[in-house]
Amino acid sequence: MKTIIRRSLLLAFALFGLCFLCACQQGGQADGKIHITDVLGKEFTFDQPISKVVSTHNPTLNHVVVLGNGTSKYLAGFGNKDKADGLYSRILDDWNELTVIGSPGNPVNKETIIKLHPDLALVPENLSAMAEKDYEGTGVDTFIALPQNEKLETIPESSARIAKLFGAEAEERSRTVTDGSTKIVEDAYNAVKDVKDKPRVLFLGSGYKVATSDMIQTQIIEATGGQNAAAGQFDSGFFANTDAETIAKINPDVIYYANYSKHTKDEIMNDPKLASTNAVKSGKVYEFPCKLEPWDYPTFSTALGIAWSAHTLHPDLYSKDKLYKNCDDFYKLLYNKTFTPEELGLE
Amino acid sequence: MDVIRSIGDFILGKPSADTSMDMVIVNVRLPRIIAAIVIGAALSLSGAVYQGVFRNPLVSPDLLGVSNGACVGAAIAIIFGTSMIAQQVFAFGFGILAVGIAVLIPRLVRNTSNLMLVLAGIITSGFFSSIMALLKFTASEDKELASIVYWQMGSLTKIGFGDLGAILPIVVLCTIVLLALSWRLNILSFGEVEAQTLGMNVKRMRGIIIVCASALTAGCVCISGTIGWIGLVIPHLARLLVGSDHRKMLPITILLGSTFLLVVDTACRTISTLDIPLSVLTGLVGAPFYAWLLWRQKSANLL
Repeated sequence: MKTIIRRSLLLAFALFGLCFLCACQQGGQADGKIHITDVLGKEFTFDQPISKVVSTHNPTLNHVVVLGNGTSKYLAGFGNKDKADGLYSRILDDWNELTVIGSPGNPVNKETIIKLHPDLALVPENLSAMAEKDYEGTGVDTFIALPQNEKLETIPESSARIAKLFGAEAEERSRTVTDGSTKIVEDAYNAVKDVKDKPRVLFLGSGYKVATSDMIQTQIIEATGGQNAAAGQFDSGFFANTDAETIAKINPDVIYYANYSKHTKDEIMNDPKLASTNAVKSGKVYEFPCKLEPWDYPTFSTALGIAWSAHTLHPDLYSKDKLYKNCDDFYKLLYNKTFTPEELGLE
Repeated sequence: MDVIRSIGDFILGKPSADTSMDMVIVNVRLPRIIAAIVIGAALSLSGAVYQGVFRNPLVSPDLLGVSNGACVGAAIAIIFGTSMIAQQVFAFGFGILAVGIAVLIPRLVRNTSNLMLVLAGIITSGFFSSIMALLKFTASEDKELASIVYWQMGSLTKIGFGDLGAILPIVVLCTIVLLALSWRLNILSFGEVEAQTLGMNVKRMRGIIIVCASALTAGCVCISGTIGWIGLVIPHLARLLVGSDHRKMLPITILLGSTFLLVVDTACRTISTLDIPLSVLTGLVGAPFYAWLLWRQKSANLL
């Protein structure tokens, strides 16, 4: 089990990124053009790197901002600003001027898109069914940038795929950020890898939905010396609907709740249906960070989610100072900015 | 002039001079305008004939559950991540299924009166509403649920010429049939007994009208989502202008319905950079307008 986790982490943040970059040349730039295939296998050829994209999917948009050195230089239009306001209002100088084109699951404004003249629309695989219809008539192609099965190993892969669209500078940037996040992940993993007594952690979404085995949240828990308390009990894929009684039967030692789930610690601690769980009895109920952006999304910030989980589950092995230092260093790398623990919601 | 030139170039198949302008006018606005006219006309006509058949001014095209059925179909398609075409097919199919169930219930209880049909419609609508609630509960909050809710509120954003082409045959055929039956609707509106006395086969006539009106509604709802108030309010306005003679009232209903939805859709896409769902404005405008109409009709002793 340990070997599998270690191998997958190493592959995810180092080897896989490099191998992917080599493999996906695809006879690529010998003719000076950019040849690239999206997640669904659709082939694209560009005479030169593209300059502007639109998207309504926050993890995709985050990759674009990171590749732009924490700026909106590659962005022509944004999705739902409310969900992303915490982070981007602090790092993007032109945040208020960025045009909103729509939100995930809702149709985009076609006239706005035509006016913006983006080169491509980046869409995740799970919204690809409607994507063509959404952008039909705008003259903008849709590029499926992120896969449906969001995992730790798909993060550098997605970054490299998007970076290739923007050219060599973005690709170099993707490699740099991949290396930076690999360091943090390895550091956290190595600190807790010898832990024998692994707490059973439940990751709560909204209501009583729980993260299942096949999700990035489970990988975060398992990489940081924990085990998913709900593993094997539900169909894999996405958050599974369950109820308080089932959660009480599962009896997790620790409860993480997503910061986008609208739960509060008080609400969970005072929920009579969960009062019998070890997590509530010992007060080990934590909001998964951070206030500015989710650290369990398929973005590079997941590395900080891993660091935080290592500290939360094993504070004696991964100190708060180390966590804060990694937050500072990594946010400086991503966005050339640092945030206080209060701003991040770590205190 | 640029708009006329763009449309003219499109019709004549000429290459466009101003790509952005032509894209906006031909690919985005033109299909939407045509869709607003067609759907507004169809839903209003459907509402008018339902009100005539059931002799009830509170009746709307959703009476027999077609909208709720279509919502369920679309929600299932959205949850399974199917294409837009599949979504439309599911919506149409489930809309017709809902009407079929509503029509079957009176036959099963051996009472095919108007009242029983209305009650069957309420039962069917309630049943499909419950299924809808279950589907919303199981849908993923940040992706599927948003799509389902937006679809329920109605929008012409995604409609292209292909979608219009798919529903136009049904809409045109049903409209022609209903207009041709307009004087028979006058007779039906006297009441079932009176109509039978005048020699009409009430069941068959009602059946044809319900099938046509339901097909109109299902066809529109499957591409635009549910759009409330048009089928309820516009026939009343038409009655206020030209009276209750269906031979005059139905064409005026078509004209008013298409104009109303065209104005509302234009407002929806111009008020903000995001497309506001149609039912938001049709409700905000339609509800007070309906109250005013009822007051006017009472004043004119038409109620």
